[in-house]
Parts: sequence; C-alpha cells; structure tokens
Amino acid sequence: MQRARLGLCSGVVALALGACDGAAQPRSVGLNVDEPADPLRPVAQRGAVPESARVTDYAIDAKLDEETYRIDGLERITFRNRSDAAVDHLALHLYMNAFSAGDTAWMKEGRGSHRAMGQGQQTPWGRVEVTSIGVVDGPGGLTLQPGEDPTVATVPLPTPLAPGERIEVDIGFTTYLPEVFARTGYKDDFVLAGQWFPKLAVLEPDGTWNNHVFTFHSEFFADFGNYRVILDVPKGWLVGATGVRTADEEDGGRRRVTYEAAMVHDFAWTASPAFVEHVAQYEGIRIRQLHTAETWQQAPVHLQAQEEALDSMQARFGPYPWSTITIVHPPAAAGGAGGMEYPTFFTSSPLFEIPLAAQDVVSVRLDGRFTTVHEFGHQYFQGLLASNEYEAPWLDEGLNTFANTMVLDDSPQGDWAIKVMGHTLDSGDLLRLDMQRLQGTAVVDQRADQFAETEGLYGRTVYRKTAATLRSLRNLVGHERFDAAMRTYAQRYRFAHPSPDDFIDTLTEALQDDASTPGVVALDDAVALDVRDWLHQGLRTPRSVAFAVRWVENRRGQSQGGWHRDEGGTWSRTDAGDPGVEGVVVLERSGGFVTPVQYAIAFEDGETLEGWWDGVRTTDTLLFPGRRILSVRIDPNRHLELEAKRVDNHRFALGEAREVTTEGDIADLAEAAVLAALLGVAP
Amino acid sequence: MKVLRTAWNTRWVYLAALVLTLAWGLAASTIAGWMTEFILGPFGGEADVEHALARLAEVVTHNPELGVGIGAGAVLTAAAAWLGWTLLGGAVFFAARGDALAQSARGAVQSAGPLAVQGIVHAVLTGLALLLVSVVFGPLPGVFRLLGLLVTTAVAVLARDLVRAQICLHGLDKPYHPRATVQGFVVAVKRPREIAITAGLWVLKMGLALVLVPLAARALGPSEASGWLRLMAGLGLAISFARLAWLTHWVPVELEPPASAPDDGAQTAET
Repeated sequence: MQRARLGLCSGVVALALGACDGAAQPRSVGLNVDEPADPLRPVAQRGAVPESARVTDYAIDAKLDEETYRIDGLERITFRNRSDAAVDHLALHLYMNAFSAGDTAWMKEGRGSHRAMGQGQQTPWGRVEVTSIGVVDGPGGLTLQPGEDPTVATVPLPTPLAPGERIEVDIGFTTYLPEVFARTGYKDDFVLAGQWFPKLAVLEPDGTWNNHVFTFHSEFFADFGNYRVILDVPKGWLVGATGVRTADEEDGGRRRVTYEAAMVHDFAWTASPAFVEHVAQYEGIRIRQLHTAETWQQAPVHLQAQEEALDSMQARFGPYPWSTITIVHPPAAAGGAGGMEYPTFFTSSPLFEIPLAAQDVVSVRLDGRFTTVHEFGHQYFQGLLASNEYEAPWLDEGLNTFANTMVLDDSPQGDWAIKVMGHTLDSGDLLRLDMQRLQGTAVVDQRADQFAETEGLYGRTVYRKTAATLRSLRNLVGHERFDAAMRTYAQRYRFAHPSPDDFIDTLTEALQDDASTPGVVALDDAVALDVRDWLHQGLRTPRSVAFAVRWVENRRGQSQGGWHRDEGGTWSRTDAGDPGVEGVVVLERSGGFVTPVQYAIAFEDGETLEGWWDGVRTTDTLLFPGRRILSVRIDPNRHLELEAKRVDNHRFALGEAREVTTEGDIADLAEAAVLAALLGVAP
Repeated sequence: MKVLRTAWNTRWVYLAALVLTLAWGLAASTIAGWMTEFILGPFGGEADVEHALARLAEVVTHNPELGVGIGAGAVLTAAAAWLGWTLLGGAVFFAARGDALAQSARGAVQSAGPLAVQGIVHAVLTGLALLLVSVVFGPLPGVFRLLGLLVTTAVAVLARDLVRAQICLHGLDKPYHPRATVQGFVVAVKRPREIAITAGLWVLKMGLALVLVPLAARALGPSEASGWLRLMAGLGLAISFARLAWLTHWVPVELEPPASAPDDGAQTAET
C-alpha cells in the first residue's frame, strides 16, 4: 500500500483538537495537492469499471444568480437504451419540485421540516422549471407531461428508441433554490445545489422506467454515466463539486469552472466566497475540505476520520474508484445542508467540542467525525453499489451503517462511540439500546414511504436494525467468513443496481459451509444456522430477538432406590444412597425470531460449559445430574445485537449467592448524586 | 492559628452535619439498591465489565423510574438541604464564636427566618448577576465568559457569607429587608482579597461536589466507590466550615443604614 504523506498534521490547531496523538494523527495535509487530471483513479488502483454500466451522460452549462439564488441551465443528456425493449418516452426526475408547494409528496410527509430544520422565512419554496426540450439533430419543442407529483414527468419521444440505440436530448431549465432546510438550497452567501437539474430515471432491463416520486425518506436512484458541468458563479466564490476541476476561467465579474466526473450517478456542487479550503492526499485521491471560518480548525479531525474510513472500506469492500473526495462543511446557519452524500462529494457536520479538561470525563465520537465516516460510506453504498433508495433504503443506509461500525472497529482507537470516565459504549451497545425502541414493530425491507410516521422509526429500522442484523449474523457465523461474504457482494455489484434479493442470495451462497447444504452454516455438531431464513426473519419480519434464562435450580437427584420388579416379575427393594444433586436449566425464547444462541453454565466445581441451543422451541430444559449450577448466561459472548433486553439473560441458581454488581453500581451512583447535591448547596 | 482555633470551635456542628450528610447519602444508596434488586429479581443483568455502561443504560432505559427516582432524589435533596444548611450555616457562626452546641443551635433557630429570607433574595440577585454577566460577556471568547461567571459567583458567595455572618453575630435592625443582601454585594465587590480566598475555598468545595458522580461512574463494576464518596463529602464539608469560620474574623461589617460604605477599619484584626 503506497501512500503519499505530504506532511504532519496542521500543527497547533490539530494538537488542540487532540488529533495528533500518536499513531492516530492525520497522514497528509497540505494545499499543494494538484487536481487530478482523470476523475477516475489509475486502473491498478480503481479496479474494473465496466463500460456496460454507462447509461446516461450529462453535459450541463449552468449560471448562478447570487442575488435571486436562481440557476439557469442547459443540459444535454445522452441516453443509451440498454434494456431489451424499445423506449417510446423518457422519464424525468424533477426533484427540486419537492419543495414547490405544501402538497407535494415530500412536503405532505415532511410538513416543512427536515431533521428539526424548518423552511426558511425568506424563500421557503424551491422548484425547477423546464423551459425547453428537444432532440439533438431532431425535432425540438417536445412536450413535458407532468406526472402524479411535480417531482416526476415524462417526455414522449418522436420515434421509439430501439434496444442498443442512443439519443441526445437538450433540456433548458431554471432552478429556484429554497433557503436550505433539507439538503439543498442557499443561506446568505452559501449555496449547496443538490438534485438541482432535470435527471433521467432508471430504465429497467425490461424497458420500464423506475421513476418514483420524491418522498420524505426516499432519496435517489439513477444510472451511471459521465458528467461535464460548467458552473458560472460570481468571481471570488470558491466552488466544490462532484468530480475533478478541469478548467477555471475568470471573465469580468464572473468565474466559469468546469467539472468532469466519470461513472457516477449524480452531480452536486457548492459555492461560497466564505469557504476555507483544506486539501490532502490519500493514495492518489485528492481529499478537499471546504469549511467556513466557524469550523476550519476541525479539518484535521475530519481528515483523520476520512482516512480511517478509506482504510477500512477499501480493505473490506474493494477500491474507491474515483480520484477525488470533496467534503463540505456547511455554516451553522445552513445546517440543513449537512449530512448528505453525492458521488465523490458529501456534506458533513461539526464536531462536539468538549473542553480538553472534560474529555477524561466524557468523550463522544458520534459527532461530525462519524458524519464524515457515514457520508463517505455512501460512496460505496449507494455511490458504487447503486441500489434503489426508494424501494430498498436499507441497502444503502443500513449496509452503510454496518460498514461505519466496521470503520470504528478497524480504527486504531477501536470501536467506541461514547466514553464516560473510562467506560465505553461501543457500536453494539448503541445498536442494542436502539433495538429497545423497536421491539416487534419494524420490517427493514420495505419502501421508504411505507414506514409509519412515528418518531425515529425509519432511522432505527433502516439504519440501525439493518446494522444490528448484519452484525449479529457476523457474530454468529464468524467474522472472517461474514466479511468475505460482504466482500463478494461488494465486488459483484460494483457499478450495478443490486436488489434486496441480490444481497440475500449472495450472502446465502457465500456463507454456506458447502454446496451440498445450501445456505447452511453449522455452529456445532447439532446446531446449524439457515442463512436465508435468518436474513428473512431479520429483514423481512418484525420478529424480535428475546431470550431469557427462565429457571435455574439444583434439585435433589433422581433416586435409584425403592421397589422394582425384575424380569421374572418379582418385586424387590433396593436401598440407594444419597441421590445427590441435579442441576436444572430452562432456557426460553420469548421473541418470535428463531435463532441459534449460545449459553454458558457455571458449575460449582469451577467449570463453565458453553454450548449452542437451536432456539426452535420456545423453551428447552437442560439437566445436569450430579452437578450443582451456580449461574447460567444466555448469549454470553454478546452475539445477538438484535436482542434489546439482556437483563434476563443471566440468572443465578435458586438459593445461590448472587453477585450484586448492578445493584451496587446504581446504589453508588445514587449516593454520589445525593452527596453531590448536599455538598453543592452546603453553607 | 486563630483561624484554626475558630474552626476547631465548630467541630461538634461539623460532626452533626457530617453524620446527617452521610446518613442521607446512605439512605439514598440503600433505597436505590433495593429498587434495583427488586427490578432485577432473580436475574443478574449484563456481566461483562467492559459493558458496564451498557448494563446500566439497559436497566435504566427498561425501568426509567429508576433514573427518575435517583434524579428526583438528588433534586429534592438539594431543596431540603438548602433549608437545612440555612439553619446549620447559622449554627456554624455561633459555634465559631465559641458558643456551646446548644446555644449555637438555639441561635441558629432564632436566626432561621432572616437567614432564609436573605437566602432567597441572594439567590434571585445572584441569578440576575450571572445572567447580566452572560449577556455582557457573550460576544467575548469562552475563557473570558468563564472568568466573568467565576468572579461573579465568588462575589455572590462572599456576599451571602457576609450577610449571614452579620445576621448571626451582630444582628440587623431590619433583618428581612432585601437591602442587607444588596449591601452584602456592594461590600463584597470591594474586597478582592476576601473574594479570592472565598472563591478558592468555594471552588474547592464545589470541585469535590462535582467529582462525586464521575467518581462513582469510574468505579462501575466490581469495585466499591462509597468509601471514597463519603471521604470526599466529609472533606468538602470541612472546607465549607473552614470558610465560614474564617469569615468571623473580619466581620462585623455594617450592612444596614447608614448607607455609608463600611471601611476596612470596621473589620477586626486578622492574623
């Protein structure tokens, strides 16, 4: 692994932020990293990029009016019909129209707010207006036919486009940006243009268009292609965008910047005169951060997070194919633009700045650095494995959240999210706590607009339940085996549109012990796990994982004494000695999710017996003649992160002395709280 | 030496306060322990020490009444303690002067009304002062804001001490009049040395108070924290008593009309 290291982290600032300690320091910082000439990395670094995946190219010339936040544009779409059927119309997404009125599909769900940000007062509405449509070297004046929602439309073609043929269409458009509250828009002199141009939907192999309306949770779905975009902005404004900058000219009071991107499925850009630029390099990838004065000191910390994400995700899911990454840090007033992904370009969020002196008491890693890891993760899940975010949002958000926890795990600091006085909550702990809120209510694999509108249900299900499901399966079948299966999936569907079935099929195939027992992984001699059924339960049912040690006792052993009749029919009495003891354990599966689970039984003689229970029946009794049990744990190695309640997973045998760790901890905390209150107001 | 002697005079009041404090803490601890035991029943909960926080979080999130109970206990304790310390604070002054324990208690009871009323006035004025400083220092960097709030708090603590000492040791003609506390602030701001000493001792006490919960959190798992918690609470109380005892050495200061500001000549000799 060759890595360019241009310098140490940026001195005092990074030191103050704690970014420069030991091996965790950022590896490359500087402003002298040249813009790459090619939007893709060299072949040896990027891996294969199939030409067959290239469907739609865009050439856009757009001008920003910084007074009215209006973008006038002309785009040329080159579309290749790679389906098996002729196409008689084009289907367009007009995403910006989600913000055009209160009764759009998006606004009906969102009701004018997104992630606690409300619509702006000055310019609450945004929209895109198609001003002209024509076929290049063909008839102009084509008609845009509105769809069921202003975010979708169709354009009938003058002649059907046969399979294998291509067509070029020119579309004139004007986009009116709203004050940003949901990913895209402006605030003062900051502009973040996402989903800002008329965009082709995805043509399915059978020749039908997949063109869902834009709903509150649905996000996007598009085909791969090349982009060449000229952005005309005021002179003095710094621009960041998808791809690489290939030209930059000034003309009077204006600046025209050209960006080119290859094999991406979207294009976003940002511009502001207030940006502070911070550039670094990682194995030939130019990492550019655009901050404002509010956050520029945080750049080294985000860079470290970015590098850790690249380290982890390239090793797990294959090479990052593009030559640039642009990280935008919107100003606080434009916080609604934060935390969103676009190809090679994403927006992050600020760090929690805990004073150095307090960091020994509380440290939090789930701040802007996690946002950076998460949004970068989308370069894979959905930038590279371009699943349908409307029909299966878990395929990008859920798999990405799983990958994010792996980034934390792979990082030099290990997997911790929150530290309190030296004690940590790791990813598994947090996922488990989230599962408490979901008990029996959530099915992962459903359309984005099918989730009940209860607070947090979408996020907990799509992001966290998916991650908890995958992490639980990983723990059960073994980390290496699962990681290899995920790698297979990531490599198989690069530059493609994987479906939920593709994912489940791939894991089922890759995890099985051998082809003779399809989809089955043996956990021990008697217990096996059916991968397909397990994933079905985790992703397609609301069943919850819940186990308990229902009963543990040491009863009198079974006596062999008494009257017995022999083979000749004669009764005789035997005197048995002390019948001894018999340990009894009752394991219970109280949740609907049927899964194998481990147990551990601690005996009085010091031995601890670990074994697997298939969990098929709702209860099972284990008997241990002659052995006295102290306590029993179910899932002692914390495999099942889907299980929200673990309190009842550990039980002491009836009559045995019990450890009082939890009681003692809570008693100490209560005493500390009361003494602190008494001392705080003491005279 | 004189200060130490004065502080020593308060030993019985200190012991009484310490016993009450520790007993209160022990009661809270016992009740919380019982509640948890009742909730857990025969189960042991998460056993992995590396996941001690998760274990607590799970128990509390499944049984929010536990967290609410502990929080409410602390808040109620603070409220009750405010009243209790008002009396006890008075007793410290009497004891520091050399009064017998019974006499100190009697004096404290007799001064309770004015101490409570002036305490309320003081709380309101302190709140306003802190708000004002927050607003005025708002545009400045954080370190200046913190410094401003710290100095204001130190002045407020000194003002309260002055008023209480005056009520207990010398009496006020109008013991319920808010002007006494206002005057306490006016006098306090003119005494940087006393502000510094008061602030130092108060910060020390508050530091000990603030570290108690993190200390208990640090000890999550098999280790015991209660011994350390009690030791630190006792130390904090001792610091508080020492501050009040020290104060008796430079009071009286006239806090009532005539409005002429008290001068340094009004204070007793100080070693």
